[in-house]
Amino acid sequence: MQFFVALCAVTAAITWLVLAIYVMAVQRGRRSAERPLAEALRILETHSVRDLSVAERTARVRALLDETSRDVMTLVAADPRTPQELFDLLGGYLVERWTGRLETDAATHHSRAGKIRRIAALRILFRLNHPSIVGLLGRAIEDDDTELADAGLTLLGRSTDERAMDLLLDALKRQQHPGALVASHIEHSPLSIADRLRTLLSDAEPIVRFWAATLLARYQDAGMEFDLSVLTEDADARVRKAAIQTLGVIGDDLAADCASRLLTDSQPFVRAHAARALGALERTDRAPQVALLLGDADFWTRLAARESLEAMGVDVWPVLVRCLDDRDGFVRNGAAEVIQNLGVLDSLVVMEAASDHPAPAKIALLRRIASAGGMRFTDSLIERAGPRIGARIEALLATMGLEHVSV
Amino acid sequence: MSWFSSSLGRDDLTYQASPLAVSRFTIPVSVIVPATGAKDLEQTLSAALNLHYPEHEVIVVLDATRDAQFAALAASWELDAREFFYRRSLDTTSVRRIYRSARDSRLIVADKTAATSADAVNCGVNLARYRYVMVLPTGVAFDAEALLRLMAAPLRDPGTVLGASAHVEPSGHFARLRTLRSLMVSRLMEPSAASALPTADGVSVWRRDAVLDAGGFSSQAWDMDLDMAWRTASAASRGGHPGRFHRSGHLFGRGEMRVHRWQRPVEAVRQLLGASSSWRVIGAAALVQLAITEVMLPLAALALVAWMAFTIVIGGASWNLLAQILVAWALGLGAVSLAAVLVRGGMPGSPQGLQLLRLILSTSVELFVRPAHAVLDVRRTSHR
Repeated sequence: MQFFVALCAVTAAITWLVLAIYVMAVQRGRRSAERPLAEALRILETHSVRDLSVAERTARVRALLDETSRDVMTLVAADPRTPQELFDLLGGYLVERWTGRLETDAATHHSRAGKIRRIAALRILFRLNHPSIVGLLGRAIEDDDTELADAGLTLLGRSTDERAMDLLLDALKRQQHPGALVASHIEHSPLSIADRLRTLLSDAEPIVRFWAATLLARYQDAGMEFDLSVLTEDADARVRKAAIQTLGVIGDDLAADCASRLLTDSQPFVRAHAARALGALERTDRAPQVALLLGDADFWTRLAARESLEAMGVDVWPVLVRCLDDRDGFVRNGAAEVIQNLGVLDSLVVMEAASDHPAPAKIALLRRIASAGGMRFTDSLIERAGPRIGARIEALLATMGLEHVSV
Repeated sequence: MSWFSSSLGRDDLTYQASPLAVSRFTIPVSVIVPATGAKDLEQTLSAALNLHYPEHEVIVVLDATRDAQFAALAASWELDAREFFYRRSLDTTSVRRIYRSARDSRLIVADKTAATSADAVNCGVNLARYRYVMVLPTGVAFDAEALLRLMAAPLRDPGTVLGASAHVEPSGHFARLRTLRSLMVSRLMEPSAASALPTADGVSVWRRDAVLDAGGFSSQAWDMDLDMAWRTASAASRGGHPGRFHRSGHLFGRGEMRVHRWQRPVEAVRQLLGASSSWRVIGAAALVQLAITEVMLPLAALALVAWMAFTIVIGGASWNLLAQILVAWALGLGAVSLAAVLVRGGMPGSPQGLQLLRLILSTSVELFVRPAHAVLDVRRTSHR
């Protein structure tokens, strides 16, 4: 027992000491590895060096670059924030000194450190416009490691090479990665792919049609309204949703007709997006149809209807007033909330309730709005109006029997 | 060249300039800030609203609005009382008023009757409009990419990932060492993509529908996040769509979390004894990790202390032997902590120079400081 405990104590002490020294050594190593490059960067920033050619600037700091480790230089060169003129210098030096190593690093990895090196190498080769970069990125996005695949997708999304887009669209079809992730990169690509997306609208796979319809929102002048309107009758609800969502961005009259039709779709999320599309198109003439959704069985559809009416602006006021007397509490609540958010209620209060002789018709309207909104709604109104006008409104509303509508 | 030192933080390489930060396809998040008499609320809100994330809202849940804190908040954020008809899916104490900011429409403040932290979070979940909800305590400092890092796993697999957590690194040496050890465990577990359990000292994000299916956060739980991870996994499994919790190996930010260390083992025991199907629902790796770190190691430590006290009383062991045991224990723990410090070294903002030296020396004496921290924890909890 005594011997065993002593052995444990000695082992623990030696292990602790060795690790403590190792941690310090690693830290010192990192610092000293960074120092030459930091010094080189300082020199490159100086006025006399800044305007020289890449070759001349490299010559000025070559001794310091020779002292810098490959890992440190690779990480700095791979950072997207590295200015182009500095990248030209570091990238050129890396290729010159470690010929072929960047390609090897970018092709495969066996450890976490190797993965970081691989991502960095891919970024550098991409920025250098290396001839084999698309192939290397294609291999990266096939990897099981999500960080590596994400880095590959990001670079493909920035590429102006048509083959990069082929890889992204293929990844979208195969669903090897989350569709939203791949679609993000496609949407931010510098390439224009409206025609390619148009052909995908008739793909056999609903998920491909869904993404094609969704991604077309970026192409406002591509004349896709009719193609998308066809998809609003697709058997797959996700496709109908995507089509109407995009039509809300790029559409016109045909889009409004489709959206009006989809307000009665069997799927709540399609109804919600149809309502939002009409709001985005600012079709106040369709407000009565959207207002019907204030009483929808689905909460998110009711929310979409409220937001859509709000987006249409104060012109929907007559429609909302009619909703204040609806038998459905949800409709009354929703209409009152939209009136509140449009600022109409506050204007009414300031103009009428604050005056000495408020118009009876407007007071009646105020009562209807307050009744539709419930107790907390009126309390908010009073608080918003401030102490002086708020007190008058309070006195006015005190005569009413307000019932809070629970939702 | 201010970017130079941060560009050497290898682990953040993949988050730099990600298009997900500006993509409309990135899943929106509701950030819930339960702010019961909290300090640093102003800074937390500014940081939360400045996050690089395409779509997010910030919901502050206050327990009492009529104090100076609310007045300051209302003035700086131009709060307006505005009714919002929401779905009251979870039972909470009543909401007195809802405010919206005229300065930033993404900010909502709910004034509700005072209750527990869980109740405040549940109120925020009721008001949340987005698919994921993040519970953000005040007093945590974080960079603009923090939410994107935390959401990395949910964005990859929203159908399966019920929640995710990331560590918050404290500034005190001893608290920091505990966090670094936990971070090292997260790093080891992360590549396997197996189900994990939330960190004790972190920030979590949850899939809203999973929280609702589980019945919301429990006021009775000793550890709110651990309990929620258990119940969301159980509810998802019962619903036929098993899910998992992700524990990120990245840091969310820095700050002092209100962590009560002794509560987590109690919650762990409660959960381990309470659910017969835990192995299937939570996953073997997560359960083993929980059982070892939160139950077995503390119990072993208690047993050792009890045995040493007993032998001192009866005079059954020499002082020399007891000293050797303490050295083995303290430096064994110290060695594990040093490995964690080494792992931390590869990330941005790692300790340098004198700070690193102090941290290294702290690893050797942490064992002797722990009892004092435990007493402080118990005192803080009893004063709540």
